[in-house]
Amino acid sequence: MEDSVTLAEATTDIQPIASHRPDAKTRRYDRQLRLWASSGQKSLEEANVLLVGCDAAGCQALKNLVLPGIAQFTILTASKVTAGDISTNFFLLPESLGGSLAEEAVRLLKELNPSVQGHADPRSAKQVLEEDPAWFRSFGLVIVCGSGEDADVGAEVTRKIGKALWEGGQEDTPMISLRTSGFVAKVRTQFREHCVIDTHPDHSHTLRIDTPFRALEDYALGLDLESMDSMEHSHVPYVLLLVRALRTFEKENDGKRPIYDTTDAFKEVLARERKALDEENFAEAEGQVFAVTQISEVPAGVKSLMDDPSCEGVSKDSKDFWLLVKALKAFVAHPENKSGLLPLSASLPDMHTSTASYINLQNLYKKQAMADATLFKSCLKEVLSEVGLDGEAISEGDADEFVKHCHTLLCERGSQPKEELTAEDVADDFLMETFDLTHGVALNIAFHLAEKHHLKTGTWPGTVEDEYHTVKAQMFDQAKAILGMPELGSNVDRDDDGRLFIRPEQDEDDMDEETEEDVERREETRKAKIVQDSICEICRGGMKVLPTTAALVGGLVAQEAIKLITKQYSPLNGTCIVDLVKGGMTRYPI
Amino acid sequence: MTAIASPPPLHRHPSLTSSQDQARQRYLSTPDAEKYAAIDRVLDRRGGRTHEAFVGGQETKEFLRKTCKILVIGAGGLGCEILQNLALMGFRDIHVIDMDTIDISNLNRQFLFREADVGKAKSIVAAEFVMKRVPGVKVTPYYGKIQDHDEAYYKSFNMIITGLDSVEARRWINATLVGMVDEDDPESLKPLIDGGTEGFKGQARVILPTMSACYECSMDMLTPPTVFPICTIANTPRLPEHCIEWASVLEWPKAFKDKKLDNDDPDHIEWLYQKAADRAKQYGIEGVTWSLTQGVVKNIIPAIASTNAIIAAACCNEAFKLATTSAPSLDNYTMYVGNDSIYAFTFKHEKNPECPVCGGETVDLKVKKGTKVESFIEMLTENQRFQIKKPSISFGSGQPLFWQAPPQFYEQTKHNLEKDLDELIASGDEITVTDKALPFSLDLRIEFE
Repeated sequence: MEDSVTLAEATTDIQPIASHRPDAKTRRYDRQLRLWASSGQKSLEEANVLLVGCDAAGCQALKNLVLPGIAQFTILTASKVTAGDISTNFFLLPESLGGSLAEEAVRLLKELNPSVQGHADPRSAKQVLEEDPAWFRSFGLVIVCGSGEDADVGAEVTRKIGKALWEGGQEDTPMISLRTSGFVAKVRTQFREHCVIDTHPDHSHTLRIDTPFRALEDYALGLDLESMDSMEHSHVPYVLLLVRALRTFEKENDGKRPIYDTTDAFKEVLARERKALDEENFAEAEGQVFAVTQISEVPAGVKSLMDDPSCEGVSKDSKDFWLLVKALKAFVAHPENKSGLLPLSASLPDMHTSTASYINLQNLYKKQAMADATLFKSCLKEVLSEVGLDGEAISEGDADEFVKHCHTLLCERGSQPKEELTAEDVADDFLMETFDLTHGVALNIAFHLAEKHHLKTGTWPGTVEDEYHTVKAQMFDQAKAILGMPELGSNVDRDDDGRLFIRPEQDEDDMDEETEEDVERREETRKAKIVQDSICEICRGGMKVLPTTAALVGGLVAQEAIKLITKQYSPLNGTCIVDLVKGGMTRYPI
Repeated sequence: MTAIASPPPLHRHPSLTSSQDQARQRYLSTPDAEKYAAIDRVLDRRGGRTHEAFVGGQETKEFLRKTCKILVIGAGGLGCEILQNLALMGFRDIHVIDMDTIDISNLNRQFLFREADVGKAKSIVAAEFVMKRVPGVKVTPYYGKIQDHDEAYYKSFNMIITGLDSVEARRWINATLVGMVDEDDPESLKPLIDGGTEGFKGQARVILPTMSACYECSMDMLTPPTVFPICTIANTPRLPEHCIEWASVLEWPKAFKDKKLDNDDPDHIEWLYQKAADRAKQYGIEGVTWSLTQGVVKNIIPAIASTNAIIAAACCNEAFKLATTSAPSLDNYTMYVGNDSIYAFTFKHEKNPECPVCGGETVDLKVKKGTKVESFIEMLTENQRFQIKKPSISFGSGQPLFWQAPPQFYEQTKHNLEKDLDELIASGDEITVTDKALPFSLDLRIEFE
């Protein structure tokens, strides 16, 4: 007890280091800043999001965007609050009954975060589309609701907004559209081009053990392992051990480098310098032998970006991203860049070694990384001047940030939704080969058919009780046509409820007598059942929004919105089908 | 499942004005068929994959809205979402347990809380909020630990959903529910639905105690927590994390013998930060920040509203399906990854026949002859399957072999640490391991080799 001191006493004997104790805002956002950092937060705090239509899923999506602190949001709908809205939407109250849906939801959503602005726009989307379709492009992101709950938004409105946004050209506003029906849902993203610098890969080390840079090689080969005491010897970083062994191996094998098949021979070379079996640094080196046999190169994804027409044809109007990629290409080809690789990353994984030699090694990497970054920036200046831009048009900070992430760049190009689906559209390569129909594929078709039904009749399947079964049967026929399988339903019947069902096969247990034809027929039956079940599920939900489905879709939409707004992580490009009957999600590029 | 609790009374929130209350009553008097049209669609109609046993219609609705009693463990990031979803889906008798109070860093996702609530009990504020927002639902909060309740309490629920951030609490509730199962009483089997998130990723699972894989069956799938060896922290720091661990693990106890480190006290974090930054400066290590210090010391896991929304919704969807049989249950594990496009993967965890909780068998363990009891204990703590820190060991007879506590038993048995295990027991003998982190006692059959 005697040598215990008070907090104040203990603190006074330390050299003062400026405290960076977080302010209230940083503390509020702490758990998310650990993901997208202050740069991502800044983008969010500038974001202006529009929700077209208002249902539980749309409000849940907004909730998940208001909480992390977007700048502002608008809800556009002329609809009035119904009892059904209140019972499914957490952001409505009993006293909201009959009031403006937009105003009521905005009021309760705003409560979630005092720094977010919310606006209610009680016009109908149809009216705005007629009067001023370009208005939609004044937002940073547009989310379009898609249950049948808000009559103000149907299949036609969704299509027209998508078109209005797409027509913004390269300055298009990204759109996320959703559709929910009972246990199933669909989320679709639309953007022309989305470029990401920070995709958040698991790690970003570039150790270059197979092609060490000069300073690394000199340092590794200059070590005198023989004269080291056992303490020092067992703390030589594994990176250096591998570089040494690599040179020795090459000398002894006519300059040939180790490959997968000669790994054991390489391990023998490595083991020659080992003094004791319990040397952990050697154990680490042995575990990392693949780093020597794998050849460092420009990652395929980045290479294809450098060959992209947008990179080739950069102009002063190009996005910063493409100007930076062009500079990266120049860097790779630059005579001063002997490696012919991308700029080195300064980050180093932890390894078994002493503090001094770790810091030493880290400094080697940092120095080379800085030299690469400097060369890259001079390449960038040249690119900028070539297209007639000021050398400072892209800040040094942005250039450094780009260099840091240049191994995992991403550019996604999106598309408009198809007006008509064909078999090729709904089946990706894998599916085409085996034609293994999943519920995801079938649900995607079923949603498409539901939209077509709404375009034609103005009602959603499953909403008019009298037509319940006939609409299902119609959709089933249409699905068969899309899949190019007219004979699909040859063994399909109806039960007493009018539900479609598959007539049981005869002699199913009698495997001996099963011919190829039987197998084919059984397979077709199985597929027919999947299509039928999927259509049935969508009609069953009747485009109503189940609160749990809404919450899940709201979460998905918000994640995609955050990725699109912060330009971090990889977004969904195309369609995602949510099947909560089985609990699965599948995605399609269309 | 049959009726256990009486239907909850309609709840009138005390802070409502009379006009608001009137509006509420007006809304409540709207016919159910109009209010619950969205939910009724899937209860009145069958889906293609709906089970034969599905009744649907009034009977199912009555059970959901009048009889079913559900317990939510955790009123944090997942808990807030779960309570909202259950209330909206029509569960009327919801109970919630949480031992935490509200912190400002919760407000970016725990949407039932406001700045003015900071410092209050999560379970109580969350329950009040949901009852105020969703008329007709009764949420009963309990501010305290799950261990405060006995089997009879857990038996009174139809099912349990957990949104926890602690492995220990999950193990406890899992073992408790498995232990409760009585083969002759189907009512004793309580489905457990468990969710978890980290950043853009998460998972949800359904556990039918003794019928399907339990939480303990897949303990070895958990990512082991990052542990920095003491010698690195003390002698060869390389990363900023090493300096922070040095400050909290080694320096703090030296400086404050009688004061426990409080992770939530900013003055304590400040002290650690200063110490760690100073050490880092000495060694030329970069990257010690306030935020990192806090992150390492508190083992902070990044968390956002959207991921919690996805996982909580997946869990509540399972609860709804179990309560209504309107669609088949998740069988039995789904993981979600949102940082690289959207990716979800569903698979079935198989039961582990050697599971110390639901396997019902003794676990076989091979031990080298000549292993000292002390190193045997170390072996146990390093085994990913057991996840224990300070085990005590008893002979098959129950007599202490080595006990960490109480002190008189420690004194009596500590001399055994030096002995070889095979001096004390024979090959094939059973021993019992107990540990604070283990909600059950682990029976091991030792085979010497």
